[in-house]
Amino acid sequence: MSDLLQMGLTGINLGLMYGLIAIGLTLIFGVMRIIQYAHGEMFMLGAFVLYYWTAEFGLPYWPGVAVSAIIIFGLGALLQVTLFRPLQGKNILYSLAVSLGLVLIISGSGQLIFGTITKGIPSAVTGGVLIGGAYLSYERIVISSVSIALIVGLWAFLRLSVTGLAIRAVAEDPDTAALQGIQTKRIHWIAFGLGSALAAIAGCMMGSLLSIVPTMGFLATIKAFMIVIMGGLGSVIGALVGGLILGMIDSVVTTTISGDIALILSFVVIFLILVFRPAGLFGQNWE
Amino acid sequence: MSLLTVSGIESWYGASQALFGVDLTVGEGEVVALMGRNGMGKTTTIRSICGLTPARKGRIVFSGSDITHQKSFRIARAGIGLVPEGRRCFANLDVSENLVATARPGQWTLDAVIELFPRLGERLSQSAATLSGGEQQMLAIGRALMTNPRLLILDEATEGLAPVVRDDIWRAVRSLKQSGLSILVVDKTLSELMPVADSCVVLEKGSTAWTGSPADLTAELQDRYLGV
Amino acid sequence: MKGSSKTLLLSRRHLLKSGAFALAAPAILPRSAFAQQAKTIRIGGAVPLSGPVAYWGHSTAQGFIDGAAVINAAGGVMIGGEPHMIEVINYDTKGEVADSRAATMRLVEQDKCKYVFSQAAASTVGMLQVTEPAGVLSIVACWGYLDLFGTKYPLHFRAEMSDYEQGFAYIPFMQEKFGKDALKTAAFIGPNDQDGTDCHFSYKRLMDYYGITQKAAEFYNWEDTDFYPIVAKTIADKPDFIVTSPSPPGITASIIKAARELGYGGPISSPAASETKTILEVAGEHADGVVLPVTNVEPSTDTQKAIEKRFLDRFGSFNALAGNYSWWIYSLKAAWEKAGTAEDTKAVAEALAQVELDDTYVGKVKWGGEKSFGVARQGIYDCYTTTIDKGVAKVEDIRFPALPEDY
Repeated sequence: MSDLLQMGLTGINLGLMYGLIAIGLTLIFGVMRIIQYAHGEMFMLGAFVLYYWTAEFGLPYWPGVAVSAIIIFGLGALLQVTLFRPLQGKNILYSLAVSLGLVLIISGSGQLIFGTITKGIPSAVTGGVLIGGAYLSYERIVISSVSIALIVGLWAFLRLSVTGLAIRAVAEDPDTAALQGIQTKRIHWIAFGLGSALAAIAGCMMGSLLSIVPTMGFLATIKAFMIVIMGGLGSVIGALVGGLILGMIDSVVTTTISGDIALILSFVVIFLILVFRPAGLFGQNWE
Repeated sequence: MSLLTVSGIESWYGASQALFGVDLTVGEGEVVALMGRNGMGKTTTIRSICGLTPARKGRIVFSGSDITHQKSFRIARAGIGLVPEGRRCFANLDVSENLVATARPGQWTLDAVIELFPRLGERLSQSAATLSGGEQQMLAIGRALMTNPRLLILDEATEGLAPVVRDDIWRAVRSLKQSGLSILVVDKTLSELMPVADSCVVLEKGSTAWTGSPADLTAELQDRYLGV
Repeated sequence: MKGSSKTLLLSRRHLLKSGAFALAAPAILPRSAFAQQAKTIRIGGAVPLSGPVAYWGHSTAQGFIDGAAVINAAGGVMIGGEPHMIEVINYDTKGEVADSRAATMRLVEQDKCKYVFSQAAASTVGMLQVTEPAGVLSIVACWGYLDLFGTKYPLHFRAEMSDYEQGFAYIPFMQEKFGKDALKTAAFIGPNDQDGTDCHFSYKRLMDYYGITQKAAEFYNWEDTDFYPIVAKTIADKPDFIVTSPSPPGITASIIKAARELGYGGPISSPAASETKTILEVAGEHADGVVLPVTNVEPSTDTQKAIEKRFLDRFGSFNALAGNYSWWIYSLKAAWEKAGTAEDTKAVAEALAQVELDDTYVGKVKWGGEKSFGVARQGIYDCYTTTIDKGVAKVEDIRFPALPEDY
């Protein structure tokens, strides 16, 4: 019983972090219809900003997370304006090519600048609690809470704020939105920055829980794409649900059978979802 | 003084020219009917005014400023509200979100729009995709009004709607005219359009062929320019 | 790992600069050395300088760059009374087999290197496809792929002790520290690739030798992000201790942290991490009961201190792993001088197998494994074992592996 609970708690924790990365990606795709393959690099850079802030400069943890989010928001916005804006409306392959280039540049220079040694971000909280025989560290509780707060916050932002509504309007029909006075270019860099900042925060959380290296972005991108395809391109709820499914598979199957089977099963689940719902669980038809 | 002055605009879609010199004027508080057979350039004229298909020649002046080469969103913010052909409501947003997303401050508020179209008030939290055609049309007009425009452009606002719903739309248009709003209308229902219009502009083959008051648009002229 | 963090930013630049220095070294030596038209011995590195195992590659290359500079400054390698200068050339393999093969080809055919070095399994596999047929001598750090080692590869040396050789130092140490009865059962956690499989084989052989029962063997994907699930599965079998091999420091740290959080109290040994800073950063308060063989975090002898200082000056950073690899070039120098040639790699290989050094960063060094592999090509040296208890890392044991009679 406590084993089951442990698996469940681990799965939820993992799923929420996966969800956070994937939500950023799905937001960027949903609004701009571009493939941002360097999303994982934003995740990596976010973690390194926090690392330097806390481990190297000895500054407090939470302001560091905020600083990381702000810096990566700025970087994302800058990338959108300089690299992705000219590709707007072009074939999706252009953005794929540009962002693949970004992956190589960012992770390559990351190794030069940050070094190749694995690093760890000191945890913000220590200790933990036993719940029905399952151990839950306070760190994981905090990280899950932050993930939930951000996801709820984003959900509210997209529904209740004028900018959030504008983001959704532009995602659906940029021309009509412009005809009603929305500056779509501004919405584009905001959404790109926001998506990148979410990845950065996920990087901070994951980096505190595990360890960080300049090459960590690649796997984050793969997971994020798996989740986004499963949940439906452009769907925030889909990204959350997809993240939780993947987190649960990783936790339960790895604990009970093996990591290999978990990976295989993840893809089997994705294939099955795509067979029965080609647009993903909550996806729309983008044609 | 005129609010909108379009003089001699020529517009292209890529390499093919669609407008060959369109002139029209909308005065303050005036309702102008933009008329012509299908394919004569009505929608292109509207697209050019709104910046979607910018005119390569000629000039568009709105409220004293040249908007010929302005971006769509700036033209919208300058005070031109468009109700596009086919309505194009944001299907993933609910009714109130559709109205609020692009709103700008002014006399038109959510309450004012609901007063004009009470049916929207009953469906505020309903997704726009689930509305009937008429309700979507009301929503599209309401959305444009929420931007508090000085000029409202209605492109085929009653097309494909049931007669009862059309009546609702025309009632709203009359009420908007009474409130002093300037309106540029494209519509095929002459029986409804004529009584409400202050002047008519008829396009033929991409240029202005005739301008005058509805009273002067005789049956013979109607037959020549609008008959099928 | 002392002093490695602050200056990390500069390490690569320093490396490149020092690499250039090494290349230019013959030109800036005293004229006397060149009066006799000093000959050059080229050593080529096909090492991962980027990618996930770049840390290992840099550490390896640094040993050669530093060693070459030291040897050249002292007058070079004396062969037949004639000084030879060492030139080191490094190419990046990205940790990929194909890139390593290409890099080695370039070293052998274009740069005419007769001596090459490499790091980690993939790069070694790629390198061996070129070196052995070309009669080029290779020195590597590689634990797995034991079928690529032995009599069929007479020019191939494995300088780094694998988890197997290390075991004959750290298992006796652990038995003394924790008591034999406290270490009756063990579990293995490693990656699900050839390296992991090979290391599990070595681990199994080691445990059988010491009569320790294997409770569990778990293999993770490199794609795994959270180690809670795999650690939960491992500790469910209640092993007395856990061996994480060959997991890099970050993963080892995540495993330690997960194990401690999930309430596991037994010792965790990591024969591959060779690093404490990451473990302390990542595992934090949970870094306790950790045993790290071949990890000398406190240079104590004059030689060790001198190496640390030179690395800090030259590369801006120093880590225990780089220290572990720093002796390779000195053993080559001894072999060239002993064989009296740098041209005949077969003769050099025979001489190298006989080389014993007494005072290196890893203390006493020799080559062994003749009974196990048919050739004495495996490096054996003093095992400096660092432990982490309650967040404090210190060298707790130094001993030469007590290898079995039939090794």
